[in-house]
Amino acid sequence: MIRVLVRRFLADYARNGTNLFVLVLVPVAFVVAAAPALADAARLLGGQGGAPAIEAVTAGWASAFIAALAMYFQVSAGRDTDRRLVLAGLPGRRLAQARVLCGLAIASLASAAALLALFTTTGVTNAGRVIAGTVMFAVIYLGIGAVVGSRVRNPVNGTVLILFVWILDVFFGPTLSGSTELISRALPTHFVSLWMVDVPSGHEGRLGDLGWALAWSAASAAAALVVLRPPGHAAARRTLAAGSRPDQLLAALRTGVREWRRNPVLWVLLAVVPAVFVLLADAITPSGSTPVVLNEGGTLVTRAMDPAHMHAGTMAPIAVASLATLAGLFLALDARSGDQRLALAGMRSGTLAGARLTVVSLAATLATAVSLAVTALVFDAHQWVLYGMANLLVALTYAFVGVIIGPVLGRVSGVFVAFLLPFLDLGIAQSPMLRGAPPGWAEVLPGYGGIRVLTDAALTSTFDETGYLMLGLGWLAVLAVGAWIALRRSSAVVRPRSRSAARGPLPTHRAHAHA
Amino acid sequence: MHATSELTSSKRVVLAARGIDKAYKRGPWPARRMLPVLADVNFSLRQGEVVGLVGENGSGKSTLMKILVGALAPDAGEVERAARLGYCPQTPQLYERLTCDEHFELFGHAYGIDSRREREARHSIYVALGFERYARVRVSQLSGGTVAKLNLGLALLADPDVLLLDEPYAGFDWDTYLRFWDLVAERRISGRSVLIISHFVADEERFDRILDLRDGRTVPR
Repeated sequence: MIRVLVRRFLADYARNGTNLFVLVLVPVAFVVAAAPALADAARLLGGQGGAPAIEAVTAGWASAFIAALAMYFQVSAGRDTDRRLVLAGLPGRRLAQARVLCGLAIASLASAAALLALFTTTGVTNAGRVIAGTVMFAVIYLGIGAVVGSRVRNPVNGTVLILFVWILDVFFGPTLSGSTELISRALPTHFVSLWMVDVPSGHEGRLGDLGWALAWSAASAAAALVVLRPPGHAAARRTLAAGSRPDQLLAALRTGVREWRRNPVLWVLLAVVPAVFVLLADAITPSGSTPVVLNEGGTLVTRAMDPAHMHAGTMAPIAVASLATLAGLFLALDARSGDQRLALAGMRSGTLAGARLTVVSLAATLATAVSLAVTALVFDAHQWVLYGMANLLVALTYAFVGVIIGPVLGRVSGVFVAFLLPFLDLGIAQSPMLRGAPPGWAEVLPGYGGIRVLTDAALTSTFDETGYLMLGLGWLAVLAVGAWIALRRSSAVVRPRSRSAARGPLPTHRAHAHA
Repeated sequence: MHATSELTSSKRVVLAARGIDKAYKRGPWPARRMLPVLADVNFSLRQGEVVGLVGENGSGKSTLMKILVGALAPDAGEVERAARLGYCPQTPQLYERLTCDEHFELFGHAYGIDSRREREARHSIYVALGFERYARVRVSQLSGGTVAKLNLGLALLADPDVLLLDEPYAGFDWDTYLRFWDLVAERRISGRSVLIISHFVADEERFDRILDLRDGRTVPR
């Protein structure tokens, strides 16, 4: 059955003459025409492997691009028909396999065209490695094309998104830019491009560069199989009882997230605040030496640290907390009026407050992720996972502070305090940049425990601050309860006496007399 | 007034308020004073009635409405209700960045009605009030009149037994105003009750009875 499907899908693809033309023309043009210019660019940017490496990798880039676009259009154009096939009885798993195999066939053709152009124009020394690398490029981007195709319906948006990912991957990849930054290691073809040109990455770990490349390829193919499987019969879907607590929670969450992501201020702040706080802090801090009290294996030691090295890392939580406080503040204020009406219509106030807190937490997590991504450009923490978690702890703490102060202070004063409070607590009271250890009065502030954990994670290689972690979590729990109560109160409904089955008229009152 | 109003007295009471007092605090402490708004308000609404509550600006109409629906607690007195309420506030309490469709969907979950029934009700409200073409437009991009239609539509969504409307037709054009009264008449025929609060009443014949809110008390007209 799969063979028939693949054959039909391929025929559908090939019957558009432009597809075949592009399938051959783009890889050939890219390898023949663009490779020399890219080799020059790589020389300027310090790319690894030199000009021969760039020429070899262009075959991979070309096949990756074609594979992603072919998969995207295959998925987005066939979405409704695929659904119909499944409704007619075709197992969704089989259909997904056929789509992936069809994509692989197209990617193989693109790879073959690119490799043929490469072999005829340049002298390739390790043909087997280049061929395997090119195929892995195609498979990785096949998954990207499938994921984008399953989520983005508009072809302009879809192709622009794929192009954006591909450009980032090519221009910030190790063979063109020579970048060894932590963030560039997460690019899809970072490891496969280095393995393809036989340049060890130096950070491949036990898995090795080939292992990472194969893992990316396998994960990408698996992701394609998952996203390409159309949903089955609608009747098979589990539905929640209308008006039940989980039903209301899900509805409030869904619309809450939707409304929040449509807030343009959020996106501007996400783009501006981390960049301004973290990158500027890194740029303006001169080198020197400052004492910092650290916990090393349970013993407090004072170490001399370079402010220029650690300032960005200590500034990240301030950016995170400011964004999170604003997120909590705006959400509490924006939702207040509508939430009260929603509660009057029957939405449970406690459930609604829970949904709002979840949305605030998601916004705080997003702010943390963005700030960490910016921070990773200029700062390398000793324990990245713990450092990220500590930032998240601080973000959630201040997000709940924002929810609490919103109804009390209003929008204008609230925004002012949302910047001031994290700055005073995290930037002045707790900052290891200003003094070796926080003063006594700083210990009663909400950021104390979180920043002690964060400093330990940023500047030492072992975790020794369990007590402070507990303190930070305690603050978080208290503020979460406070924020929940504040939200619940803002949408509370006064319950009147109600009669479930009134049969007779109430006692007549003089004000009830009919006109 | 409707000739049938005499008959309604035998029908069951679906909403009642007894001895409602409400005062607002004004001014900072220690110069704070109490501004009484409602004093011993008694009110009832029977099945199938269309009642108007009229009063000048600041007379406490919206305060009484908020107490009836549960948005505000009275200082004294009690509210009793025996039916599902649909409430249309004077100021539309909506989410700026959600569309009309998304509002109906969300309120459907709040009312506890299943999605099929919600979609049917939504469609009939769009048709009745004539704003289906704005179904996928965000509230922040709607005109004042369309916001007023959505505001009313959300109160109608669950087909409530009692509809409480606070200045509902303030932003309506003439055509929508007539459609609104058609809707009210249909509800009346089907045994639903409607309480309309307004600072003036133009068409007295459309009501079963009208109450004036004067000096914090309801007085039959």
